[in-house]
Amino acid sequence: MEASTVKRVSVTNEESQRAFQRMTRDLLVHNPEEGTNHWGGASVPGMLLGADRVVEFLRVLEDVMGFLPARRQSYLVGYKSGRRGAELLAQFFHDTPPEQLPWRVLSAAPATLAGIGWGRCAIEYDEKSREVRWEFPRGTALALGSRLEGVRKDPSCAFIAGFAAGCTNHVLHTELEFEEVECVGRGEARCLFESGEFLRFRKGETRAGPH
Amino acid sequence: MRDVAPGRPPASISAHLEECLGALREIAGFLGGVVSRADGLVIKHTFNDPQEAATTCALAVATVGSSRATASRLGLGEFDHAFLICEKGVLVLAGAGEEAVLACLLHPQANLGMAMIIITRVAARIEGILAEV
Repeated sequence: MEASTVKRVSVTNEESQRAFQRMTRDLLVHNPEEGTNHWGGASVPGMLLGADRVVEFLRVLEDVMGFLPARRQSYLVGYKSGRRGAELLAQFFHDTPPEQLPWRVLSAAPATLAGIGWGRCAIEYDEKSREVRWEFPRGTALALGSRLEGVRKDPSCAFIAGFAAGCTNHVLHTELEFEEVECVGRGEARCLFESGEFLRFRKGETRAGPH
Repeated sequence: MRDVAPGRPPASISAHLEECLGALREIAGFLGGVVSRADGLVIKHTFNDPQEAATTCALAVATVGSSRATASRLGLGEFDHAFLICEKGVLVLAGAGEEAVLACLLHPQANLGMAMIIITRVAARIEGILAEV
């Protein structure tokens, strides 16, 4: 019997709670003179921002130029954020043997994201096919925020799709794109992002279905 | 590791798209062309500088997107193509199905009527090629 090539990492309630403590207490430093917060030694201040405001960037852009071009811009911002996030995470694993580093860094992403309030996710990586899935069973914070303002026709989490792509590509040295296959903002039960090498954007078509 | 999101067409269609863009060279005054995915990702281009192609794609889909929004608000129906006629050149934007946009840069003195005959034909071919992916 062939051994499974799929690796999966998720986060429990307890791990999420611990990550929250670590991200918001241990690693967040307040600069009272500037009135800013800095995470993990980063020079760029970190801000608390309503999740719906991030979706609002997408909304404003799509009102002007339509969903797909707006999605791309939001995706690119997420992509760079995901790449930077992966770089930042990797610094906590400097003792890890190089061959183990990619999965160790990717494994740390769910707890980190939950800790900073982006939503609780599980990541699956098929070493054979190199396919990657990021699943948020209850939705991303962005989608949950967006859903409160009504059901969208198009997915709300282009930023997270880009983040998943930036983080995954940096860590695994791949060149994958990610697509919002299911989205709480669109009325579905979970947010699911799947990798592909070249995405299609056929109108009305969804890859959503039983998995 | 690059800092931009990747996305490249399958090798199987790459040669066909290159052929399509090659056909645009029949246009007198043709300066360059790009096939952009509907979200602004470069699929294929004739520019020497890939960055120029990337910028052209991003601007092309934004222009097509806002043109579509304008057409919709004014009740003008489906977008077909747009001209941006400027002092030093002409940008022609044509929809290549729902998934792609064809953008062509032409010399300001180019014959736009003749150019549109070729661009329309090429855009239809691109639509067909992408439908097979």
